[in-house]
Parts: sequence; C-alpha cells; structure tokens
Amino acid sequence: MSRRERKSGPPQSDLHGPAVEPADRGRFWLGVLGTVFSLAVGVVIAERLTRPAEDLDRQWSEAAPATAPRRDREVHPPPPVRPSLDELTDDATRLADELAESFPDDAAALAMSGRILFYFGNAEKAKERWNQSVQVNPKSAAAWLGMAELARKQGDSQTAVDCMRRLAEADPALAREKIFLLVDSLLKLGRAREAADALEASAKEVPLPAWARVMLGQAYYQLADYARAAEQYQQALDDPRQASVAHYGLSSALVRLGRHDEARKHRREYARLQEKNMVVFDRMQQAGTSEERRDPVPWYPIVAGFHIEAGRLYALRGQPQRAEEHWLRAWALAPDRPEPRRLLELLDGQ
Amino acid sequence: MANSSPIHDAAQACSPTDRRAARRAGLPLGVEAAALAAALLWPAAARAEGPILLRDVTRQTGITFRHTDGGSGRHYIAETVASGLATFDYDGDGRIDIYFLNGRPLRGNTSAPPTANALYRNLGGFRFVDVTREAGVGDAGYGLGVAVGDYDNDGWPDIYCDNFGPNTLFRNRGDGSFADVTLEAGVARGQALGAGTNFLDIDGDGCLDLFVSNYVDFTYENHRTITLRGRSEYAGPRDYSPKSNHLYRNLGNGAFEDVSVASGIAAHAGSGMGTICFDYDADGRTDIFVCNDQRWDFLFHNLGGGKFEEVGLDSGVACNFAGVPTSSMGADAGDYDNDGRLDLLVTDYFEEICVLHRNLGGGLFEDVAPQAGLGDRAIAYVKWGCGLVDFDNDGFKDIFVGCGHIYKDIDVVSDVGFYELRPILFRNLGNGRFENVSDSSGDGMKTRMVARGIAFDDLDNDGRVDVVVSNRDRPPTVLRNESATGNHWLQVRLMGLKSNRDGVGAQVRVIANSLAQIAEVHSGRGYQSHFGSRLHFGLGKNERVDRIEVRWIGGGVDVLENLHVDRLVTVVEGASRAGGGME
Repeated sequence: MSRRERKSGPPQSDLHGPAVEPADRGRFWLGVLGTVFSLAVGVVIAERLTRPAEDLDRQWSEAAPATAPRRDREVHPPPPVRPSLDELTDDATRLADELAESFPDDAAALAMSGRILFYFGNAEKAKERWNQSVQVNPKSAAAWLGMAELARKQGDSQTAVDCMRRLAEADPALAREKIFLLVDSLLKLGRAREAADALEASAKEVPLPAWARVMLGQAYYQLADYARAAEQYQQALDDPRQASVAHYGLSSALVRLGRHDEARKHRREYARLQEKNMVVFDRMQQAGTSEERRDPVPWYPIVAGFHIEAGRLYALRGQPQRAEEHWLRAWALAPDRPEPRRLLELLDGQ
Repeated sequence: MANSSPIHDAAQACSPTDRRAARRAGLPLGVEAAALAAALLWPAAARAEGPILLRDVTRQTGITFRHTDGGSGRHYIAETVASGLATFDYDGDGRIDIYFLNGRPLRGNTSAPPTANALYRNLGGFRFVDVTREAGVGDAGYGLGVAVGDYDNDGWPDIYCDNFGPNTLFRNRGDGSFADVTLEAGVARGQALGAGTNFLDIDGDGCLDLFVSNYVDFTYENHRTITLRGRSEYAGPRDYSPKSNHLYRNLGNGAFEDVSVASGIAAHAGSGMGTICFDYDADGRTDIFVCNDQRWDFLFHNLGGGKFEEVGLDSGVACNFAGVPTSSMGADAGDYDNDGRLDLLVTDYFEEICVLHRNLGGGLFEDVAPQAGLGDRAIAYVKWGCGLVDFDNDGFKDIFVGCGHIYKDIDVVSDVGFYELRPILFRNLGNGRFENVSDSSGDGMKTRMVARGIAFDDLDNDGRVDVVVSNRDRPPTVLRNESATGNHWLQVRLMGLKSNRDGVGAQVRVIANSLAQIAEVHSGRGYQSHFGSRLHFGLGKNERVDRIEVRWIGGGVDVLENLHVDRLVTVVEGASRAGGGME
C-alpha cells in the first residue's frame, strides 16, 4: 500500500480479508479501487451489523401507521449535491454525533456512529462510541469488530485478538467471516499455533478462500511445518489475487524442504507476477494527477449509505420526518442508489 | 475499575493513544466488559523499570544543533528523508564525537538562515562542544547519508556525505581539521538525491572503496505532490523513477574510479535508503545490502574481481516473509541469535512490521520477525534508524528503532498516525524472541521524536552503549544508557596494517565461557548513518574472555586469549602472530 493511499483514504477495512493481495499493495490506482470497494463493502456490512435492513424496514413499516401521519405527495428526487471532501467529512461527522445524541441507549446506533467516525479518521472518538456501545450491550458485535479493526491498525494486536474473541461470543458467524483480523493479529504476535488452529477450525465450517490458505501457509511456516505450509500455498496458486504471494511462500517452504530447484521456479514466478503488477501500477500512477486524487466522488455513496441506515433507525423509532431527511440526503448524494427512493416510497405508502 | 474503558489502550507502550486515553471519560461497565478491561490492562509489572534504562540527557549535552529539512511548504520529497548522522572519534582522544548532517533551504525557501552540518567534540561527561568551524566540516550541501572511514589509511577517520546535490569527501588532516577533497577524489557523484553510503574494501587491497546509494530520480523540475483530504502532501517514492547506485574504487592515490557499471552495481535501479555492507555468506568478501523504499531490497553479492551480482530475491532479503516489498528504511547487520552468522534487521513504514532476516547459512535468509516478537506494538509507526545493540550487556543484541512520520500534519489528517513518536525497544530474550520493553526502559523511551538517523556508541566510555537520534526539523535527542545490570563487557577496536586501517569488514569472534558472539566492523549502517566502529560485546556475568579471533578482510587471522573484561581492547593486525597484538 503506498504512502499516499495509506493516508488518503479512511481506515482500510479487512472485513473480507485482504481485498488486494498484500504483494499488490502500493499500487495507487489499484489501491483506490480497492479502497472504494472495501468502503462499499464496509457500508453494506455496517448496515448489516446495525440491523438486517429488510427486517428493520418491515419493523418500522409495520409500526409506522401508529406513529407517522400518512403522506399524500409523490416522491421526487432531490437535486444532486456534490460536496467537497471536507464538506462530506463534516456531514458524516455531524451524522455520527447526531446518532449518538439521538440514540444514546441504542448499541447498534452507537456502533454505527463509531464506524462513521472511524471511516473519517476520528479513531479516538470512534473508540469512545464503540466503548459506549458495548457498555449498553456487551454483545454489540459491530462495536467489538470496530474496536478490533482499530486496535489492529494501531498495532495493538493483543487487543485486536481480545476484541475478536468477544466478537466470536457475540456473533460467531460474523467472527468467522472476519477471521482475517484474528489470524493476522495472532500471526503478528507470533502465535502461529493459535492462528493455524483458528483457520483449520474455520475450514471445517466453510471452504477457505485463497487469502486464508496463504495465511495458513504462513502460520505453518512459522511453526516450521514446511510441508503443510507448502500444501496450503499450493492451494492458493490458482487465485490471481493471491498467486504472487502464494508463489513466494511456496518457494520459501520448498527451500526449507531442500527442494531448491522447485523453490527457484516459484520464486521466479513470484518475481514475474510482481513485476507485472508494478509496471501496471507505475504506468497508472504516472498518468494520474493530484486533481484526480482529491476527487471525493467515491465517497458519495459511502456517506449516502450511512444516511440510509440512519434513516432506518429514525423510522424504527417513530421519527419519520428525520428518516425522510436522511433518505433525501442519501438520494441527493447518490442518485443511482435505489434504496433511498424505495424507502421514501415505503414511507409515503404509510 | 468500574470507571475504566472496556478497551484499554494497551498499545500505549509506544503508542500516542495514551494521551488520548487520558482524555477519555470513563463510563460504567457491564460485568463482562469490566472483566475484559482487567484482562486488557497493561500488566503493572511491565510499567516498572526493566533491565535497560535509557535517560534523555539532551539538555545537559550542550548540543545546540537543530536540523532543518529546508522545506518551504512545497513538499519536496527530499524533506521527508533527511538526515543521517555519524558517531566516531575524529580526533583520536578516545571519546566518541558526533557529526550531524543537516538539510538546507530548498527552492522556494527564502526565509531560512544558512544551515550546515555540525561536528560536536565529546568533552566527556556527556558534554559536547561545537567544533564545526575549526574542523571545517560544515558542508552546506543538503545532507542525507554519511559514512566514516580512513580512505587514505593515515590513521585518521575521514567523512563522506551523500547529499541532495554534489557529495562531499572530507579528509581528516589529523590536527582537528578536515579538507574538502571531493574534486581530487572524484566522488562528487553529481546532481542526485542521495541516501545511505558506505566505505568498504571490495577487493581486499587494503584501501577503502566507496558505495553511494541514491533515493529516487527527483529534481525540482519533476517535483510533484499529492493531496490528502484536501491538503497538499509529499509524493511517495513510486511517483519517481528509480535510480541506480554508485560504486567507486579507491585507487590508493587519493583518487577514486567510478566502477558502477563495470561492477554490475549500476545495472539495478531502486529507491535506496539505508545501506549496510557486510559479509553475509562469510566468504571473506564484503557484500552490499540496500534498502529500497517500496521496491525489492538489493543484496549485491561480492563475486570477487570487482564484480557484484544482485541476489536479493534468491537469498530471501528482497521482501518480507509474506512476499511484500516493504518501504525499507534502515538496516543493521548483527548476530541476534549468536549462531555465528550475521542477520539483517530492516525498518519500514506504517502498517508494516520490522523485518528480521535470520541468516540460515548457505546464502539464504528467512524473515522471522513475527516469530521473534517484532510484531508487538510496532506496526502503527513509521520506522527509521535502527540498531542491533546489546544495551544490557547480557550477550544478546537488542533492537532499537526510531520513529516519526512523513507528514507533518498527519495528526490532523489521521487519528491513527502521529508525526512525533516514541522510539521502540525490543529486548532480546536470548531464545530467539524479543520483548517490547519500550514502556519500562526509562524516560528516554518516552521522548517523542521525529527520528531519522540514529547512532549507537558508548559516549561516556562506561561500557554501555548510548543513543543519538537525529530528528527531522528538530534538535537531536541524546539518550544515556544507565542500565545497571552488573554485566560485563568488552569493546574491540581494530587497527589494520595490511588491511584498511580501521578494519572495516573484519569479523571478530569473542568467546567467554559458553557465550560466543561475532560482530563485524561496518562503515555506514542504520538509516543513512554511521556508528559502532568500536565493536561492543556484552558478556553477561562472565569475568574473563577466553578468546578473541579477528578475521581481517585481507584474509589474516589474529587470536588473543584470556583477556580481562570491562575494557577497550585494540587489536593490531598481525601482532598476535608476532607475539603481541593488543593495546
């Protein structure tokens, strides 16, 4: 990951493991795409973590007749808005604070508030919100996940592990889905046995993706079980996103197994793939301009997603006017997203 | 406990989050959260002072030097990588002196006063006096890397500065002054953005040759910036084309010949930063390691006959254990596990853990940083100067890493990164693992710095290795080692006669009872710095040294036996074979 990428975006989400293989980090445009992708995924996850959207919509639409007046007007799209990145950051921060003020006893709202703040670089405040969330509900999975992500980013692998253990108690399925965070932190702590055990246990539940195979290979390598390491790396070779690091890991394991000729072959393949990636990256990088890099457009749907979810919270709490405000804001920020219109139509249908 | 936060800032050992944690208001906890809080609380024992104590004594040193990066708000990449420093005994009085490199006003900076490098003479008792003017070493170039070596074998150490712009070679006249001999030596190198540099004897002819690395192909004309959250910031190394490095062969007559192409060095372009020359395969020839920022690191294997082959990938040092070419910054070579082979430590960027390449023998390395415990609370820092140094004299080399961010306003841009950072200290547990003892090793480890070059030497000749940190755009930091372990030590200074005068490249093996250690004399190491010309060996509780073996670059071997501890020993090449050998 390049210097600028590390700083230019929000905290990277590892919600689905490494979106781009580690060896590819440092390629700006690929990184930007990865960032946008992971942000988008993050929003979806954030929404999911707050409460399953469909359930929530059903809940508030069922409850709405008792709490909201029927509206007779048609739903019209608001004029699109194109705020600057600073304005967008202010918007998101206001939203995060508003959620905390409006729902001080709602663990999900507080967790979401924390995530918004985390995305926009306010880690300290995010941590406060997540702390509040787990105080309200010690099984607030979204908050434990957020704290694990933050701890990992701050280099505090032990806390990341502890938070992931808490997440596993609160939401075992989610913890399995985010196992990258746990395993990565364990590996950084040199606790390869626990990392291997966690991945092997996960493999009994679901097939391991290639990035997990690579990590399992790393764990076995650290445990000096080079044959098993090689086996895991071998299984990751077919995934183009993991291929180069898998070749590297495999070559290292083969060296330790004394199979030097094979090792050399895989090291060469690693080098070939890496160089290819680097050439692509440099070409894109040199074609880029700083103007493109300050483009806030990729952020619009992200912030829109936060507004959508905030609206759901308000709707569920019988505050349709506040819900409408947020959904309109979401629609204005991301006219292509279908949810704001659908939700407003639902609201108008009450 | 009831008012604690569920997530304690366990990272506070070296994390800025402690100041934030202090501001946080506590809230009542549920039982489970309180239990976790207890579990996460940093063990009280870890807060107590440990065996290593480093005190910040900067104020009492009399050092008034203040580094400038020469910036004017235009965010030239050169600003981010300045500068290294050197510790060495320039006047032969037995005390280690300090030479600070400095930046200079860059284009667009019209307000800054003239700047220069600074030489501080060690008066003893941690007092230093600025002797730059009389020494004549206030090179006004934009200093980035430095190496010290006696290139003319006259017994006085000379200085080479790798700059942004022409480089400078200062010949030590031996009377407290230096002469700028760059032009006659032919080592100005031209207009480039320099990095680490090293003296080494590539061909065993007894004359120190010169390796000069370059960062990237930066000029004022191709300068670019990036934008972070609306702020103009520094571009990264991959915004610029890579540069190849230079190798100069010492002709023995005061002049050098550029053998970059002939040697094979120029065939490889990178983004050089810290460099170190060491004999990784123990074949008696000194090899060259180059940290490359966001590119594969280079290991130039010395084939003999003035030829080098780049073997970074094949040897396993080009990238970290995961196959990621990290943002390599500083490097040091030392035998951390006392297996008789020189290992390689590399520092790197935020979100990366240090790399510790364990030397497996046979020309192969493997990165064991996670297994060795180097992933503990170090990932959130941009890491620069470093050293494999035995601070507690227990016979096992510890790891010191200086930190500091690239972006001056990172505190505004991000809540995770910080511009000023505490250094990191990993104590070697003697079993292949390290423990992060940054929190329990004295107030010096709590000083926030913007570290770049770091030098490690015994500044007060008390047998404990001290620390000097060059901070970007700030005064330096001096840490005095006050560890009170009762352990013994030995320092070894080499005097080559057939080999180069300071024994650069020679390997020394010290055996005390069951403790066997090796070290090598390096010129240029860490992050673009120079230190440790006197080799330092902690001896634990051993009260005698059974044997010292010196393998000189020229091939000769000297052996000394049954030595007293807690002293500096000077080994003269060949003298042991003549019945002497020690001063």
